[in-house]
Amino acid sequence: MADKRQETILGEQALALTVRCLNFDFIGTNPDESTEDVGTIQAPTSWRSVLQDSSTIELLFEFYKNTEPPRSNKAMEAIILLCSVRRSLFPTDKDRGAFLGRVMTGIRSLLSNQTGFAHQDNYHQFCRLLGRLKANYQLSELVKADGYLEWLELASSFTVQSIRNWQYCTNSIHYLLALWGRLVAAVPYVRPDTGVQGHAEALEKQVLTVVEAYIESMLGSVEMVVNSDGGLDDPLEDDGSLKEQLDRLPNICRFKYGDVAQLILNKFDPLLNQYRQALGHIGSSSTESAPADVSRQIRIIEGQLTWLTYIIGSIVGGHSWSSAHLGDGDETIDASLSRRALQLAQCVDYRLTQSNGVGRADCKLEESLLFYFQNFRRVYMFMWDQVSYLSMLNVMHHICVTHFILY
Amino acid sequence: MDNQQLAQVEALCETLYTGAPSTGENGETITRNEAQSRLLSLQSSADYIPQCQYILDQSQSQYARLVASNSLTQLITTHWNNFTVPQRIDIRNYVLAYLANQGPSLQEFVTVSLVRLVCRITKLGWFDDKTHRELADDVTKFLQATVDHCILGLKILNQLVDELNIPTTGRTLTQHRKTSVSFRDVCLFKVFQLGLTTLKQLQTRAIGEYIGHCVYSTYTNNALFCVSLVVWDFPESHVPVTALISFPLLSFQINSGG
Repeated sequence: MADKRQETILGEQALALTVRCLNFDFIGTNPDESTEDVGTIQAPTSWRSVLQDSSTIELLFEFYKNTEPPRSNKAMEAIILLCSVRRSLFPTDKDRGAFLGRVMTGIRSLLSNQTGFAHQDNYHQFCRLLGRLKANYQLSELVKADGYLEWLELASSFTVQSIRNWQYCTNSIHYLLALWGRLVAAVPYVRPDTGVQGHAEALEKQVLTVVEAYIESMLGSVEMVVNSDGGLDDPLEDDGSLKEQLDRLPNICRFKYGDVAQLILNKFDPLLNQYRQALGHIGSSSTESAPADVSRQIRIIEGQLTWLTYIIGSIVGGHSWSSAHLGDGDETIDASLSRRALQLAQCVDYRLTQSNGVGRADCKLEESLLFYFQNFRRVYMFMWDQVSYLSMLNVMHHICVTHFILY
Repeated sequence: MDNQQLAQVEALCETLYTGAPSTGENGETITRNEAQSRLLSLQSSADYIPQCQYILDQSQSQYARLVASNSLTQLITTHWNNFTVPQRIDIRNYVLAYLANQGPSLQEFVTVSLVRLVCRITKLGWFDDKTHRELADDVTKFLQATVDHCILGLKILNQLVDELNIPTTGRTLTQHRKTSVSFRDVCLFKVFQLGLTTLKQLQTRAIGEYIGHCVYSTYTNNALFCVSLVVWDFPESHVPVTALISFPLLSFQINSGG
């Protein structure tokens, strides 16, 4: 009989083998081992019976639930791969739907019981699974799966909870944002009468919840980082994760753009006022030479404005000129957000010139402003290079936006 | 090679891996670098293959076994075309038998090295002879022996998939794809299923213990005789997969009986 230690090794080896086989470069398309993102698994048709068999995925879910890392997260890795099997492996859409149903049931049960999420390795893999699910399945298939609405709500509260605990999972947040980004991007392609009733409204509601949590948490992170005196890593300094997150934002935020913009403005305007007041107190001296509490306050406000400027920059940069994705009035909103960024830039600039270069804003804030300008220029000023190619309509748009920003 | 030479090689290996200087045949002190360059000569010519085998067979030093195994892998990869097809099979069978006989008593690093050697030969000889393409079947025997053999078998399979999936330096991409595609079609599914079967066995065994407990109480209370249920020492008793799969049925009988 195998003892506990042997049983653990057997499990590790067998799970590693399962993952290796599924990860095999079946058709010679990924000689590069380094990419973490799973593509479609091109398993041969002869594997169908085993891959499609409900006992296979259930076995892996069982192992995830009943073991500890490194076995549990290996089992999750295998589940991710299994969920990434090519569409054509399934003989009919119905078979594929049944498979998806089992996966979603498994995920729902893990979400409601928070199974194994206390382990960071499990948690990270689970975030990847959520991100992968939409990548390999279409929204029109998800909405038809049993318990879609419940799944959506659970996924949303999981995301919110993760974002609130950003300090433990900076590297995983973008997988979750990717899930929401992919979900909303697919909305135009799903007929409203498909799947469970009210799925579109439910998605709108959950996306707003996620965006709100994201903005709140990132703003909150600033004070925590400042108070920790170097104990916490500043997520603003984690360029890789920051970029991954900013890449996902435009899609998600432009889905209910009006509401999201209002959220941002409600944060931005009071902060900018506080910033101006605080700067008024310290006159032309530098932030460091101000009294400790004022200096601390300025650092917090600047950090929060940095987040908002990055968020605005990424959203404005996500403006699309192709009419399919452009909502009515979206440019007006771009303009009102841009106006805030420009006001902030003006404020920073004014302080700098008034103090002869002594009163510098935190360089992260300056970087975020540059990020904003880059994005704005890319989307709204490209016509300055190639005016002749543009239709009159686009020039009109441009003029309108400028008009909104200025007045 | 004789016993005295073997003792020298062992001393060199000890120096190489522990850093403690040793004394050469003429009384000179041998540093780690010196030991390394002397041992590297084992990889210089295919003529040293019998020496490597001798070390593996005769030495009790794990470091010496490691050096022998690494040297064999190196020699076979670089001088592949110098071996006849039967020679290649001989070496493969030799290493596999060695693993079967000594495997469980070897240090992890020696095992890893020998497993890599078998898999390398399997890949390079894939189209030589069907023996190489039957490695998964041979490994199945490991999976049905003791628990330690089963672990060893899974390690071989893991390494086999990696070996066939990752190009080896010095071979063209075309050669690699040709082998890798053939492996995919002939062998990979079997390997995948072996992995899943092991998982199922592990899972069923856990359930088995639970049932065993129930049976025991039934046995004491109702004086029912359930001797055929003693299957959860599967690795030692060579219980085939089918015996384990019959568990749900048994539990059904127990439930309805109770």
